[in-house]
Amino acid sequence: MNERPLVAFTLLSQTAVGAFLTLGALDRWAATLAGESAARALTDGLLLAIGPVVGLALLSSLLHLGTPRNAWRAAANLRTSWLSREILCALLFALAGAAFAVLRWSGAGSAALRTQLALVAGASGVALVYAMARVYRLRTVPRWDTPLTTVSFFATALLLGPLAVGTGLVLLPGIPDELVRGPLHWIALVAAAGFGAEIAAAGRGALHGVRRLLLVAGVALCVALLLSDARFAPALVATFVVALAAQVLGRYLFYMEGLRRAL
Amino acid sequence: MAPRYAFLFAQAACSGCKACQAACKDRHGLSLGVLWRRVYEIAGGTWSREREAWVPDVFAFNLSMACNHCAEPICAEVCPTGAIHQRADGLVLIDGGKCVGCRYCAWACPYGAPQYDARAGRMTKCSFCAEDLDAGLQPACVKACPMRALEFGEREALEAAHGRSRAAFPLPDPALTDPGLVIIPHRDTSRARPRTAVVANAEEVGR
Repeated sequence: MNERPLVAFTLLSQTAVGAFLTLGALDRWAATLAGESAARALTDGLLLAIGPVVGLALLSSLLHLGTPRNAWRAAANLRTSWLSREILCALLFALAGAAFAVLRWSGAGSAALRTQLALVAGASGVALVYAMARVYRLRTVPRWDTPLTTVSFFATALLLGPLAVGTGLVLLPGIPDELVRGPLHWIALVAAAGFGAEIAAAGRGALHGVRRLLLVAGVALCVALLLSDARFAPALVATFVVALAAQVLGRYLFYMEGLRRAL
Repeated sequence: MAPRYAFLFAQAACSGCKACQAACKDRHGLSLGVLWRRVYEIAGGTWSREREAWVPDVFAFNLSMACNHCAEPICAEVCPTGAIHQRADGLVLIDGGKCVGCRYCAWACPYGAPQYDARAGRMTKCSFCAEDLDAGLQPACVKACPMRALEFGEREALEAAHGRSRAAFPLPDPALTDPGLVIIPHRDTSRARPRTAVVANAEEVGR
């Protein structure tokens, strides 16, 4: 199995997109409820943390190449190649997201410009997850060419992104309890939906069975979070770890099975 | 109009000697592990009972496969750098200088034609011996075949004479890429299915 860099690239970038969108929703919610400064206290640190995740994702995509010095050519076939389109979306997401983070952090630029940058980054993030799924929907690879591929890639963003943000919220010091309780419940709800979608999309076989157990455990943890005080850090971290394990295993199986060919 | 080439493979005539595979490797100086042309050994069957006796009821045949220079080459369609292109005469070629070595074409091709050259960090594949063809010569594999199982020619003429290829195991549905491949099938191709037959030399052909 030499597709480890791609397991990392797809999972990290889907997590980054999910986390960016979660932070956007969280930021707007907190701003309406408690004002802009409270919103910034809640989201600024985590927004910056997305940077290294995206950096690591792009780096692992390079590790997969035989001739990385030709990587600059990779967006040259936008007319027919979803791989080119994926690279373009990834670069747009990274650049718009970075520009937004820098402006927000330094306070430079108008509020309207920052909003526009955030919207561009969010939209290209969603486009990135879609393009990434289309990359694998090759008409010659029946195992990949199903709507389940698209479902699973978006479910990964919905699972790992919000859970990563939730984990950050409970682990970072100085975040007021009353502000995070509501969002953490929403995060548990979205993650439960993500787990559910992945259970529905899971394949057959022993390793898929192990993965299905992880996903069911994830749903149970989400329900526990919803019923309890979601600020309970160990449960949230455990949910994130379970989701990560399930998705790493799932992505490994995805490549192994898709690349098993007749000729 | 420029000819669109196709390979013709008479399955029953092939003895599985792999002269085509070796001639190709020699002609193009291919790296270790890279096979532009591969001979797949398809085998299947089992024992069957006739009254008190168990008799072997097995089959085996070969499939020599390079690049079929498809009319709708999915490798060129998905290549992110545009390194794979189709010549005016239909030959599908890789420009190694542009290739980034992502192997996406190898995932997409249902014939296993694009082969990764780990030494060069790039994809390579059968060029139909384009330079030889342009000089009026035959492709190396065709020239080497001692059984006359492998021929090449203008696709339209070959299809007119022998019919169009079907999706016999382990070949994919030709509608996917419209390959320049004409096969005169072995009589046992109809018995070979994913559950009843295997590629017996999977390791050799790098599957």
